[in-house]
This record gives sequence, C-alpha cells and structure tokens, in this order.
Amino acid sequence: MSASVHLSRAGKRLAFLSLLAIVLWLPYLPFVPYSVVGNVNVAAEYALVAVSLVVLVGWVGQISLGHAALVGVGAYITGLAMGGLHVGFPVSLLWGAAGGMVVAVVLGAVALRVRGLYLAVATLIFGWVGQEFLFRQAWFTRHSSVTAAPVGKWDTIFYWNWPDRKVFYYAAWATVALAVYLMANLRDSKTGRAFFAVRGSEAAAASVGIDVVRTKLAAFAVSGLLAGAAGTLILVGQQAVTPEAFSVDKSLFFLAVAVVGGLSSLGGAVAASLLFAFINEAFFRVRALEGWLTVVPAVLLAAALLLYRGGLARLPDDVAPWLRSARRRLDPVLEPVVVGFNRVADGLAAWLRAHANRLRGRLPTGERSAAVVVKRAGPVTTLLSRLTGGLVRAPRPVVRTEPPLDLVPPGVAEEQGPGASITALPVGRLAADTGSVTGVLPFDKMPRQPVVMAADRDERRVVLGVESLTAGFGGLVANDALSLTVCDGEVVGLIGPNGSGKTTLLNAVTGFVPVTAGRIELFGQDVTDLPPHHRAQLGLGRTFQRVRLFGQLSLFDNLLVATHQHNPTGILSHLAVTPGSLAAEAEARRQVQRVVRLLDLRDVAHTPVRDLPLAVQRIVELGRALVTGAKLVLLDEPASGLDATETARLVELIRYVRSLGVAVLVVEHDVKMVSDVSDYLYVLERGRLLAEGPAFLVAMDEAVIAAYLGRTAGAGA
Amino acid sequence: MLRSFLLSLPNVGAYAILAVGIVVIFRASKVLNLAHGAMAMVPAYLVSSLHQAGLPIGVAFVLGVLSGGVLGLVVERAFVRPLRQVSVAAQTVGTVAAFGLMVALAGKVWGTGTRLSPAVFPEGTVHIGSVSLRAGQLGLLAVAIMLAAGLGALLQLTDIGMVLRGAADSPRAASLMGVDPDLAASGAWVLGGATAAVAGILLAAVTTMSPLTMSLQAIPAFVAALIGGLASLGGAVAGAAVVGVATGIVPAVASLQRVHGMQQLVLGLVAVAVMVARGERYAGSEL
Repeated sequence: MSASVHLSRAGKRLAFLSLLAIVLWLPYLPFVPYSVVGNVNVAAEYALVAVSLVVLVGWVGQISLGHAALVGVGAYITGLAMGGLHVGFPVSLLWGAAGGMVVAVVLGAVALRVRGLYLAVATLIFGWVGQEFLFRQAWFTRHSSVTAAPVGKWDTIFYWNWPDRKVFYYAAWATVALAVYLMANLRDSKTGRAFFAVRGSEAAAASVGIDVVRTKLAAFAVSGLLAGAAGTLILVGQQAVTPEAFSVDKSLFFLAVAVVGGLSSLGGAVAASLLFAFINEAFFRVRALEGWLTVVPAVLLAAALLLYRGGLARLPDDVAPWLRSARRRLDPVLEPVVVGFNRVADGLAAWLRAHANRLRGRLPTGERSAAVVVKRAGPVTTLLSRLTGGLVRAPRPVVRTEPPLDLVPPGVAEEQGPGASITALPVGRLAADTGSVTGVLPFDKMPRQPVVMAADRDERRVVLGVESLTAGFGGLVANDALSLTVCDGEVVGLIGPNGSGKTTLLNAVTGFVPVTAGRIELFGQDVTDLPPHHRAQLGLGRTFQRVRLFGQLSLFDNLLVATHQHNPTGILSHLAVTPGSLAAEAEARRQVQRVVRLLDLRDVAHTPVRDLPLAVQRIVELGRALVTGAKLVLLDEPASGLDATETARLVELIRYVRSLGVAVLVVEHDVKMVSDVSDYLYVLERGRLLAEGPAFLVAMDEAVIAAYLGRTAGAGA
Repeated sequence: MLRSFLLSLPNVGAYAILAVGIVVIFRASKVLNLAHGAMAMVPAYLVSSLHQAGLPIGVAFVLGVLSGGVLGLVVERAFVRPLRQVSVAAQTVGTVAAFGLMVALAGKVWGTGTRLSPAVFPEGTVHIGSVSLRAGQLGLLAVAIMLAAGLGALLQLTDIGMVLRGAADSPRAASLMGVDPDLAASGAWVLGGATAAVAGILLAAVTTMSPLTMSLQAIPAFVAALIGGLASLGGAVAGAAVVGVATGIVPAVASLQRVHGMQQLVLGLVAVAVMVARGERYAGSEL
C-alpha cells in the first residue's frame, strides 16, 4: 500500500506544483464551477472566525458562545466606515478589526470577573443582545450593503471590484493566510505560552509572574480583531448582510467549525472551514440532501467531540502510517534545497515544507518551537530569500533542533536508566555543573552548608517577613495573628497537622488568599495588597500541594513558561517575529536548557508533563519556580505522594537549592523530612504558632513531641 | 407599571421552572446544560403534534413531560458522560452539540417557521383591575410555584436530594456510601429534562414558537440561575423574578417601547450588574 503512494522526488515536486497552480489560479480554471469559487470564498470567512476561536477557546480556554456577534459588529462597523466615511475595502478591514477588538475587550473586561461556565453564559447573553438589540438598531445597521460601492480617496489607490467572486477569492484568502501566519508566530512566542499557561492553570500561571487578567484581555483583543476582520470579509464578499447572519445559532456553528478543526490547531481550523464549504457545495448539488444542511454542523460537532476527539488536526498523524512520504515531509529537518529549474518554486516549496509542521501543530512542543527559532533570520530578508528561491542571499532556511542537552560528564549517563524517576537525580552531577566541583560526587561528600543558628538569624537579611497575619475563608480563621520570618539562604520548615493553617499561610503569602489583618513583607517590600503575579515578579516562587503543571505542554515548555518575566518583548514583536524577540526567545531557551541539565531531566524534556510520574512532576514544579529566578521558594507539601527513596532525594535537592542561594520555606506534615532539611522550624497548631527554633532543637523539644508529634500520629497524618 | 408587572408574571414562572432545572442538573453533575432550552422546545412540539393527531391535551401533556425526562437522559448519556474524563468545558460544548442537533432536527421535522401550540389550561381570562390574564398564563405561574416548592422540598428534605448533591461534590465519597454517582447524575438529568418539558409546553401554550426562538427562551433562565449562584433553588426562583420583572417593565416605558430588542438589552445589563456585583464569588479560588 505504501509503495503506491510513495512518490519519487520529481513526482512529489510535480504534485506540489500542480497543487500550487490550482490554488493560485482557482477562480480562473475552466473546470471550476462558479459556485465552487463562491463556497471557497465562504470558507475563507469561516476560517478567519475559526482561527479567532482557536486563539480564545483553544489556546486560552475561554469558551465563547457569542462569537457571531463579534463578527457582526465588525461587519456593521465596516459598513458604517464604507458608507459613512467612504473607506474602501482593504482599508475597511482595519475598521472591522478595530471594532471587533474594542467590543471583545469590553466583553472580556466584564467576563473577566467570571470564569469557565459563567463566562460561557456571559458570551451567550452577549450574542443574544447583539442579535436582538444591536443588529436591529437602524443607526448601527444603516450601511449593511456595499452594492452602492462608495469611492473614497483610498479607492483611487486600491480600487478593484472587490465583491467580484474572482477578485474576492484572492483578497479573502490573503487575509486568512496573513492571520494564520501571525497567529502561528504568536503561538510559538512568550505570549502564546502565557495563553497556554492560563488555560492550564491560572494559579500556576500567576505563580510564575504571568498577569492572568492582561493575558486574557490580550486574547480577547486578538480574537476580537480576527472576528471583526471576518465581519468585513463577510460584508464585502456577500455584498449585503442581515442580522440573521450573526445570530446565536451562527455562534454555535462557528464553534462547531473550530471544534471540528481540533480547536487548538490553526491548520485544522482552515481545513474544517474548507470541509464545511465543501459540504455546502455538496448539499447544493445533490437534491436528495436538500434540507439536511442545518443538521450537519451539529452532527460534525458531536462527531469531533465523541467519535474522533482532536478533530481534523489529528488526521495527518492517523494517516501518516499509510503515507510514508508524507511523514518525511513533515520532518522538521529540511532537505538540502537543490537549485533546479525553478528557483522560485524550490524556495517556496522549502518554505512551505518548513512551515507545514507549524501549520498543523496543535501545541508548540519544545522541539518544534526550538526549530522555529533557529531557522528564522529577520522576517523581510527571509521572506525575500524564500520568495526568490535564494536569489536574494540570506541565511538558508536550515531547520535544526536544539543542540542536544547532553553536557554531562562522560560515564555518568550509563548509570542512569532512561526512566523518569526521581532516583535519577544525582546531586553530585548538579554540583559539577555549577563549576564549583568537578567530577561526580556522592551525596555524603557534598559540601554541607553550616546550620543556621538562631542567633545567626538576626544578622541575616529577612527575605520574607509575616507579621501577625490573620487569614481564612468565610467565617473560618485559618491563620490567627501569625508571625514568621525567612532569612536569606536558609531552609525554613513549617509543620503542623492537617487543618492547622499551613497551606492557608502559604496561599496568603503568595497572594492567592486575601488577608484579613497583618502584614507581609517580601525582600523588604510590603506586598500585603499585591496580586500573585507581582509577588512572583519580586522573586517569590512556589509549588502546589496538588501539582499544577501545564499538563498538555512538554516538560521543556513548562519551564519555558517560567521565563516569562525575564523576557521583555511585547505582543507586537511576537506577531512580527522581530530579531529582538528571537534573541529573547533564544536566551530563554538557553536558560531552560541549563535548568533541565541541572535537574537531570533531559531524557523526558519533550514529554508532555501529564505523562510523567508524580515524583518527576514535583521536581518540574520546583524547577519551574527556579527558572523564574526566584530568591525565595515556597514548597507546599513537596513530599506528599512520594516514597521514602524519592523523599530522600527531594531532601538533597532542597539542600542543593539552598546552596544556590535560594531561601526555601517548606510546608509539610512529614516531620522527619522537614527536620532533616530545615535550618529553622515553625510548629503550627490550629492557626497559631506552637513552637519555633532551630530544627534540631525543636525536633528534640519534649513539649513539641508530646503536644504535636503524638497528636499527628494519632490523627494519622 | 402594575399592569406590566402582572403581565410579566407568566414569564417569571417559565424562567423559574427552567432555571430550577438548570440548577438541579448543575448541582448533580457540575455541568451547565446549554441544551436546556432545546430540551424544553422538543417536548413542546411533540405535545403540539400529538394534540393535532387527536390525543386529549392531558394525555399529550403527560407524554410530553415523559419525553422531556427521556431527552434529559439521552443528552446526559450521549453528550455529557462520554466527555466527563476530558473536561467540564468539553461537557459544556457537548451540550452545545445536543442543542444544535435538537434545533436542526426539530426544524427538519416541524419546519423552522413559527406555530401556535394547544392550550393546556382551559380557555378563559381572569381580570385583575384593568389587566386581564389568560388562564394559561396564571396556570404557568401556579405550576412554577408548585414545581419550585416541590423540588426544593425534595432536595432539601429527602435523601434523594442529599444523594443528588453529594454525588457531584464528591463522586468517590458518594460511591463509598453506596450511592452510584452515575445514577444520581442521570436522575438529575431526567428531573431537569422533565421540568424543562413542563416549562416548554406551558410557555408554548401562551406564546408562539419556532425551534430556535423557543430554545433561546432559556437564556433569561441562565441569567436567573446565575443570579442565584447556580447552586440554590431559591436563588434561581428569585433570579427568575428579577429577570422576568426587569424585562417585563420595559414595555411599560413608552420611550423604550419602540426600540427593538430593549428587553434583551435590559437582560444583558442585569447580567453585567450581577457579574460585577458577585464577580469575586464566581471567580472564586482555584485553590
């Protein structure tokens, strides 16, 4: 079977060129019916809305059931601009996009106060208000047709018979291509990672310094911009619009298109749009199907949810085993470009091959997005080079994956199995990597930091100061006038039975739980009223009791998310892939590679974290906190769910973290583990401090043993 | 003003029944049933067709309510439960698929145009001052009050209610106590479907309906449930009163009368106000 589809190189080139020719000349090909061109144009409109939904729903996880209303706003604002201000077509795209963007940001600002299901209801209501109120106001819908094509001063430059199907084909698909290109850039950037992080866990995203509110608003803005531009396309392509084109059921239809495409895949969104357009055409041609068209979107949506989850984006992977040649085309390593009879076609083919991966991508895995960084020079030179097939000399688009992470002293790798267990955590190797010690050291020869004595603490810089803190939920006071300090370079343990308020304290310090009374100081700054991401930006890292990683991202990308606050580039430079944003991206990747090496996680660096064992996930969470550059890391029950060996290794890791100059606050109820690792201990009971002091003293304290340890055992903690 | 208040009461009743069903389903399975309106629409059409076929309205009504229960079960089993392992969002989109399927099939079977539905209550009008309300409208309100009270008693006072609530909060604990959480969820969906059917049939009897508009009647009910925090029946009924009266007042204001879609705009503003006022509580803590 595979032999039949295994094309020779020349054959492949022929197939590619034919396809390219069909795409470029479609409206003028004699065998293409007029109605097909019309439906392919409609597919472009669908595609733009679907891409808009991919960004908002697929990437950021904000369900929108009112997207058609955003499209409608774009269409009617375009009408107002064209009819009232005599703005011609390509320019009026900006009006539609701006209109959609502004309304989406307003909607987002309201909806930001709610989350998940409530957001879905909010967008549904928005769609309904649009359908019943806004799109029925005469002042707003005054210019809902472009039949009397206005001629403004811009039209003298851009004049063309845009609504003509053949012309519109190029205009619409060029818009879609531009949108897909920009969104692919965004996806593989810091902004895209922030999107995925917010979808994965808002709390974890905030804990690495991502401003969740801003990120969501940015997503609403981008999504609204695309939806509004789609409205412009619809108005121009259809020449006139009615409110029915933007009703609530249309919102659900657009959502169906995006879901059928796989919901997080740009290529899938475009493919699904073409599929729906094809269905339109088929139902138009086959009489027997008459009247069933309305059922199709719901059936396909149900199928993409229930029977073929992942939608069209999954298709290439499922088909690949039967198409050996296709598999090779999607490989990120480019074949050397042969300068042949047609340089332009060669260059274009190389460019398309290099981008095939990105277009069909569902999520940026570490390897793929790494490849993107290496292969791009400045956008203009690269584009020129590619369009001219290398006639304009620029860096040849060479795709390389990251340099291997294997920088470990020779002889060590063999000792470690390929497995992903915490037992593969050689602290000796970590020390070797910092350059302070060469060779592999066993644990017992590790240089130990001196124990921090209580008297010594007064001279150290206080990194965390909590003064008579009271916090709790509802009427329940979990922390009652609690005070504690963490000094530079020490490990502080906080122990207490379940329900004694340990986690609440930690959440109050990190800003996830509001404080009723008291004061929290980080690195000498009062942070009592700061949101979590601000505290993270000051140098506070944390892990969570129930591991909160971005499950669908690879280990590498999870750590990469944490470089967020050290990357100064903005969303516009990500859209345009400026050299500055590429440099920042490369620097972030180097940083993460270093940490991956430190934690000895190279073998699993590109595995989705949800497939990793719990022990490794906990290390990744700690690594994520370190990548933020945190000077104080709060660990919330890091040993829970780990066995004795894994816990012992964790203790070594925490000591190692301290040796890097990072202060650690460990919240635990595993008393042995905490007194092993800590310099100083606080004992908490029912929201109050029971005892404090140097770890070895507190652990020996008769009163504590009697009052607390015994009770813990009794409670079965 | 009093006049429009009285005229808004039937809507309050319909929204209350729908909102109560949404809350029952949400409490038991943590899923927001966006197909709720469609689950009200299909039985309404069914009753209309059965009545046209010659069945007495009482029999048609009972069959319609039963069909609503079956519909609830089908939506849960086919569109929601298979997605439970994926995410809550996926389950919500699953109910969207169910919505689309029901609306499209209803349009195919019964046509997409508007039609009248048979009266459930005997014809006649009741005069309250200058306002005359049809018996059907008053019946709708009465049924709503009885349903809300009955369901409230069922959930608060009986073991069934405890089972329905507990199963969603902690499926594991529920199964340890001998309660099948799947069964509990299905029970809630049957109950929700049946109440949706009651609302749909009674509402159709006093208005006109088309597959889509009838299905969108649930949107005010979502706002009502939202006002109540999606968790309390009393809150949902109170929310229905707020939504019904707020939108019902609109026709009384002469300057608003002529603006199209003013009721929807008022509803949207109420929703915004609720979100702004109660936002913190909804956003809640992820931790």
